[in-house]
Amino acid sequence: MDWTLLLLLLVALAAIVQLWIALTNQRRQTLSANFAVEEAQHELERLQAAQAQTIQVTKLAALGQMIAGVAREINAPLGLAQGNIEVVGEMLAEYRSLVQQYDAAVQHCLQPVDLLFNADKASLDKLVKFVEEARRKLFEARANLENSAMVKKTEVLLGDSRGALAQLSGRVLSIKEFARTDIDAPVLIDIGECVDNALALAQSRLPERIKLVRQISALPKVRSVPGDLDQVFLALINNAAAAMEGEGTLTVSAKQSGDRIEVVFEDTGSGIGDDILPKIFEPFFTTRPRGEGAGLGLTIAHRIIAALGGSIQVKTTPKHGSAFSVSLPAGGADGS
Amino acid sequence: MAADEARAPGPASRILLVTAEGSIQHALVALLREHQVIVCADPDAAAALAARNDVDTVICSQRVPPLTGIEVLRDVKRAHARGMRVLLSDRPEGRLLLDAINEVEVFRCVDLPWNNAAMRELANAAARGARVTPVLGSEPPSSDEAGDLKRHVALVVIDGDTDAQQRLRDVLQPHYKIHFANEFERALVFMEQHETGALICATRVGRHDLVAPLKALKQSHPQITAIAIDAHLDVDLAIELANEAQVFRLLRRPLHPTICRQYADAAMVRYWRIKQNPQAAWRFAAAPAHGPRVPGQLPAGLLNRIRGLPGRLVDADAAG
Repeated sequence: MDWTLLLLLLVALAAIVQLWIALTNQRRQTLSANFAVEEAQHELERLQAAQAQTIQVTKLAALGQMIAGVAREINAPLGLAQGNIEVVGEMLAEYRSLVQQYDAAVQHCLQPVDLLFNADKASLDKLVKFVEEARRKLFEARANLENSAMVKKTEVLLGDSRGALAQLSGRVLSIKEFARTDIDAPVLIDIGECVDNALALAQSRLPERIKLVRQISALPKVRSVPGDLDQVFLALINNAAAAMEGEGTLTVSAKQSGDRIEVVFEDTGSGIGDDILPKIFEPFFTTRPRGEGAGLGLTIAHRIIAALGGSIQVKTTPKHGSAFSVSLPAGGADGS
Repeated sequence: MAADEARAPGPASRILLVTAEGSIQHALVALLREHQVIVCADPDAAAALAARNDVDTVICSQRVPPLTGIEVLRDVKRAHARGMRVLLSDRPEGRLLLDAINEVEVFRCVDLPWNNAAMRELANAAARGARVTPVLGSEPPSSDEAGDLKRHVALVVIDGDTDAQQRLRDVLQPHYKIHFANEFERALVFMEQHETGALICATRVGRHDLVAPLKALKQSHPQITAIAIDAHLDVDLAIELANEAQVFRLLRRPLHPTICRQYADAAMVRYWRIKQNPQAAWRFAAAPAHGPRVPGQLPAGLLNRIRGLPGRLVDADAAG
């Protein structure tokens, strides 16, 4: 009996030890799992930060690639304003010379007044002739002043210069909007403005042979980090421009479809071959010559749009063109 | 041509300005107010207007919907050959510049924004070119003339690409006295001894950039027609070649034999016509060099030899 009890006690003890070992193992595993979860969390955060940084770096790289074109875009209105200011300066000098001629004519007219009081008949006759000549000169100088188109022309030139400087300011704002890093949380954004910013930045990539059609009416805003949508649209515009070697048309349209906004970039270029189509969103895939693109434009565009709850779809016909369609949820709850 | 004379103020001229952009219109009318500027916003009417008003110069924007500046200037060239043709472009592309040089034979290609002083200088030079010089015909030379051309006038090719040299040899040697060199100095030795009508010149041979010596040659000897060969068709370089080297044609690699033959024939005819009308050399006066490749950077000995090449024209005043 005692042996039986002892045996039972031993079995119970063994079970307790086994249970303790299992618990210890489980605790160790839980700790390890917690540690792994924590590690994964850190890794995820690190990846998210790296991705945000990649987006920013790619954005700046895109800006860098366009810098020559952007400089040209800025230089043209600046040069016009500068040239006009030079010409206005010259015209003012010419106008000043007309005013001086008028002053001289006035002085000429005033000369005989002092002589008038002591004049004899011969002198008076001479005086009359002098006055007639003086009047003629005065009228002529006055007419020159009145008829001069210089004031009107300088107004026009200054008006054009104002316009050119406003255009310049618009370009600078586009760049600032594109490259901004001060807001990294989504805010409500106007799709039309994003398209216009991207078009302004891509203008140097859109030669005159490419006709641009913009069909965007007032639409509800969408939520995005400022600059991100500009980057997506810029990548799509650049790709469309690169696809059209000869004359072509780039049509940018946007419409609301239910609770989503759809922006379509349609070109009449070379289209995308079946062998290339599956790879276009892959990182570092590019069909452009070395040095002309990192092959990250569409990859980053896809990630940005996916992060906003949207999607990018492509329809393409080789030799006829492609249409990239970006679908995004319409912005705030009130749809504003 | 004496350089100082070329830069002296020119006569007031009649200019046709073809542009749809108000700001360009206002700015150029004000800038060139010493000339009579006729403004035309209808590109279809430009060529007829140029002929009817017998204008000296046609300045045309590249963007003149529904046409392009190249199309307008092509029409002007047909309808009013006397008019000097100037293209304004704010976004030039390589192919546009090829057309501007090869088809339109632009006097100048102006990249926006222009420089006021340079634009005035251009208007004066164009006015002088149009007023002083006769228009040259492009009809083929008679059989006697062709014989004289072949016997007396050489065509010089400077290129380091042996394949291209062979291709040019095959297509041109049966028709012209032709000399090949792979250095500018070697070509110069030949040109010092032989009357040279046309030069087909690569923009670069090995490490040597040939644009500066080409500019120096054209600035001193506008009668020698130059055909430049460039592999990459760089936009800034093409503008420099058009304006500061007054190249007659611009070729891209790989060279196409038929086109080379056509361009060489046209270049030799051009030289022959200038030889007969030395005053016409004014029409092909190169702009003063401002680009990165300036003749002044060349070694003094080379520059002096280029400038000292015999003119071989009847009227020494025109070709100095």
